[in-house]
Amino acid sequence: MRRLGLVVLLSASAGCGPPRADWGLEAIRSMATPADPPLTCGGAVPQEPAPDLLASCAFGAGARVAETLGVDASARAAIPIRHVIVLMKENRSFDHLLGRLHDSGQPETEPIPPGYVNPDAAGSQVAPFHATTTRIPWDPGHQLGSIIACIDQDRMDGFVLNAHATTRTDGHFAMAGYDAADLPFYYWLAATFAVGDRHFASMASGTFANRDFLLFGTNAGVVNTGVVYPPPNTPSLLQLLMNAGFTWGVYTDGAPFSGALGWRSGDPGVHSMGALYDALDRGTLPNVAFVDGRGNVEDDHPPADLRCGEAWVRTVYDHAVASPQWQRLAIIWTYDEGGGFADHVAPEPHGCAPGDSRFTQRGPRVPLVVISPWARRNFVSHVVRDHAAITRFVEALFDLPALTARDANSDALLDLFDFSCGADVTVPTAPPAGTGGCPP
Amino acid sequence: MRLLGAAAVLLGISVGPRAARGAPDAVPPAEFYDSFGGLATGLDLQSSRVGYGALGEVGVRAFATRSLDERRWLARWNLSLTTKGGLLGSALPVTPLLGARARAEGELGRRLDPRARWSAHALAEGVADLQWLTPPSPQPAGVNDLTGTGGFIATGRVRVGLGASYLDAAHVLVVVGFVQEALRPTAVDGDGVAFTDAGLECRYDVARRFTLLAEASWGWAALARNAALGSTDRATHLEATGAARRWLSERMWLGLAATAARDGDRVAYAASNTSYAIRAIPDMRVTITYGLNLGAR
Repeated sequence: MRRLGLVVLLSASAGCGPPRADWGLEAIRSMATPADPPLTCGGAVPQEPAPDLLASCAFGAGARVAETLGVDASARAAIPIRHVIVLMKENRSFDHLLGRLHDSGQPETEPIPPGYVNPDAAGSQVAPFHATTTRIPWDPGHQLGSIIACIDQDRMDGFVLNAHATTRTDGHFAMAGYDAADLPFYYWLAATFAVGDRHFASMASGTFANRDFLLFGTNAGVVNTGVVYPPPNTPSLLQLLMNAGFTWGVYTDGAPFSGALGWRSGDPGVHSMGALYDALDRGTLPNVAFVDGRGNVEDDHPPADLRCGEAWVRTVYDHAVASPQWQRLAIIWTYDEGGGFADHVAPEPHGCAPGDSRFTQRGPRVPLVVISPWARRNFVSHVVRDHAAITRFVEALFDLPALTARDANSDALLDLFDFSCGADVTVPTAPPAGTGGCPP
Repeated sequence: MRLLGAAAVLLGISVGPRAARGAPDAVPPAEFYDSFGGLATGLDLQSSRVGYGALGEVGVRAFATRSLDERRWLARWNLSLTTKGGLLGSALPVTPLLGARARAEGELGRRLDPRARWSAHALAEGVADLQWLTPPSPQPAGVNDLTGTGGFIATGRVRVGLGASYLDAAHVLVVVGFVQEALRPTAVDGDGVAFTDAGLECRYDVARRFTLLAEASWGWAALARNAALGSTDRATHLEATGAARRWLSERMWLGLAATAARDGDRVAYAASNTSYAIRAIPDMRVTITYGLNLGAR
């Protein structure tokens, strides 16, 4: 995101763009990724010792997964995953992108109910329909006020009116959706590997707040995407990884974390997509890699053409399955928020309040697919969760403490995996992604 | 007295007997006096962690600088009560803010050699600033972080300084090194934090003409502990200000001030022996003010 054109005299005189924070993470440049322990299998997903405590938000910052999820040292040692790619894309809801998965290889996912409609400004009821283009040119409002209006007290019927109010259209496009013919590779991933069909955005708002929940377990004072970033002294997953001797990297040819931290190319830990492919090919991927597409091009943010983003994901997938680290790898493909596109599932229950923030209202559902040799094949998880579960997954793998009550009381995606020694770890044959759509 | 004498020597000031500097005045020396009471308005352009902003104030203000008791004492005060409002770029497009502000400053300095134009100088100052700014229209649930700008902000300081002053009927120059305790907001939706600062202040007043101010300070807060994560955080604050006020006529003045500040943190995790040297986005501010005297000066 860029600052608007209101020029401040001192900022202009300082030159070189708006002033930026120094997050103090310089040490990541010289940290070496520890060698992976010998490959193991046979780890069973532990039973949660106290699900009622999780549901009541009883745990707080500092809680470890041994206490909250029963993942003790022996259970963790039996998990073969040592490298995680968080492939977080932009602004597509579950119904919008994968709403026809029920009829495309994954009948365990909930279909869009026949009676689900949204009223438009004229009072007509608009039903979900098949999108006629993979490049929707409009970007509906998707910050706090807009998403609250979309959710409409859990009626999930405000998407068309919100799109109408925030774009110069009738808003009907908010009900558009795709099928496997439009996005063959996306649908194949969701039907082949493990998909979560109750994964919500952490906060009923836009990119910045949701990506902050992933990294900090809280929105850290950021409500709407704009020109405010979290305070750089906010405890982060990045610090926790470094404290424990593990490494991370942000790979993008655009804005790291879609601009949510104000970082740039060349900042500590930031690398190009070419560096990601090289790391996968050489087997030198850090323990956690955050991968972001270029804005409005590969990241699927409207008005991007989804075919371009799908082909980009296919490239990441091809390098991953060919990597010497494939057996130790999990790719978590998800979206930061629904972007104002319709979804029929109300985000209930609310998430746990992360201490310094009062925001517990989650946003609409977003796709979440775990791609890994250890991901359950053709599996659907109905566990209610948000991006804090990705945070908790990393905390579980590397024995890190929870950042806030949000991730402390979250599950850790483990039901999407099968770590048994008899699990099918072969690399399935993937269909080609769609072609075209990328700008010249 | 030895300490003061040493300080005076360092500052190039003589504190010897009056005979070394010339004949004593036959009549009590004229006191320095400069004052203002009336309407004041200002525009504050800022760029900070919470975004860029343009905020204006209009209200009443009174300030004065005067010497007392044959130049033994130098007193200064500054009171203002204003409405304040404007736009803050903490969200797209902007966040409108409207509210009020009250500020009170008081300083009393002791000149150790009042009969001399140059004297060692000790001062004590207190400042209290209360501000309340809020979006004027209902906002759903919340707005982006407004730390230091929006909401209820209470700041202040208590300062003691030691240095030198020059004083005659028309001119005052005070140059001091100081230490202070300052209350500043640092956290999102959090309480203010007390900083211990050390700095230098230089202030030059020419009665009915102009005022110049330059000051710089560096300080630190008490160690904050995060027991849940086993970390500590030592916050620091670096700030420099330059200001000028020029009387345009007997009744009007124009002021310009610029401030640059930067917060830092050293976050340390004892268990892993790791630490992170963090610096926040700098705060930069330019303030233009105008005053119209309503009373006799």
